[in-house]
Amino acid sequence: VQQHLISVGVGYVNLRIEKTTTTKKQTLFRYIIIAATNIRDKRRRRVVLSHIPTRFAFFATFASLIFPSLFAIQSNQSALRRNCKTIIKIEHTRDRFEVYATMLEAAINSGIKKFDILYEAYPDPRDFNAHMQLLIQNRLLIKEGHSSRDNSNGYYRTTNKGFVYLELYRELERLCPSLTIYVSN
Amino acid sequence: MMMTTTSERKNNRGKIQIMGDVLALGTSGIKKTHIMYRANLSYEQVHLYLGELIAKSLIVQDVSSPDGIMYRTTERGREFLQYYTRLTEFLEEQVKEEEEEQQQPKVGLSAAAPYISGSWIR
Repeated sequence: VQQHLISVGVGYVNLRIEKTTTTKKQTLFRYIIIAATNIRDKRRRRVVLSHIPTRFAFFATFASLIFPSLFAIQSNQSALRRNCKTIIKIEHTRDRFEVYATMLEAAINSGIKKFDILYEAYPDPRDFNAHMQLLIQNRLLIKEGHSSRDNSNGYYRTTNKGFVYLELYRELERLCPSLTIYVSN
Repeated sequence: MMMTTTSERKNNRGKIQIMGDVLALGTSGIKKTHIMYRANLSYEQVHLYLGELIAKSLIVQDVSSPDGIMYRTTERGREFLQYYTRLTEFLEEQVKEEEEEQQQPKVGLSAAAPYISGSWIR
């Protein structure tokens, strides 16, 4: 008998779903729910809990615990909407200049791998190589041949020109902040 | 798996680029419809961007002019434009250099070619 145990924690009631196979060839699975109750005897517990009405009762308790909480969340949201007159919605699409700036900011400190730039700056992965190529061509980003950190190649670092770019971009941000807040009644 | 395809909106202008275009047009005062045609924007887009530029005091509405409502770039807007042009120069510098290199005829190599590839070297 193969047993796969999946533990499900729901609030203060801890339920376990036990998956059993009867024979080798038969791929019939039986799901038995075992509750962490005071019943210590395994045989007795299985007999009790494999009984269909008992199982249904456990499902019912499970559902009764889950569903009210969902409704409560929804009712809270609806109450919030009813009471608040203004909804502040922040919408922001990153500009190409901003993507370059984030990529350069990621590579400020002593060199970074290409993948880490992708991971930190979150550019569109389809355009990532084109962005990197453009930054390297314009000498804003430089590829270091050797890194002393782990003796490997392929590290990128922001150049002085890149720092100037970042300063210019910050000035633009100061004059025209990119985050816009739309307030609607 | 490496993705070799580029996104569909690669050549689309961003927010800063559109704002830069509008501010460049408004340096000597311009009407709203002229901004629409010259900056290639729709009516809704012009409303959106002009509203934002006015809110950030980068452009002002000149109601007193005899030609109707005109939009003029402010000092703050000119400063924005200055930074914007410098940024674009930063990103287009290398491309220009490459284009110039491509346009230059290879005089030196072609002149030296017969002597290099000629039989008298051998």
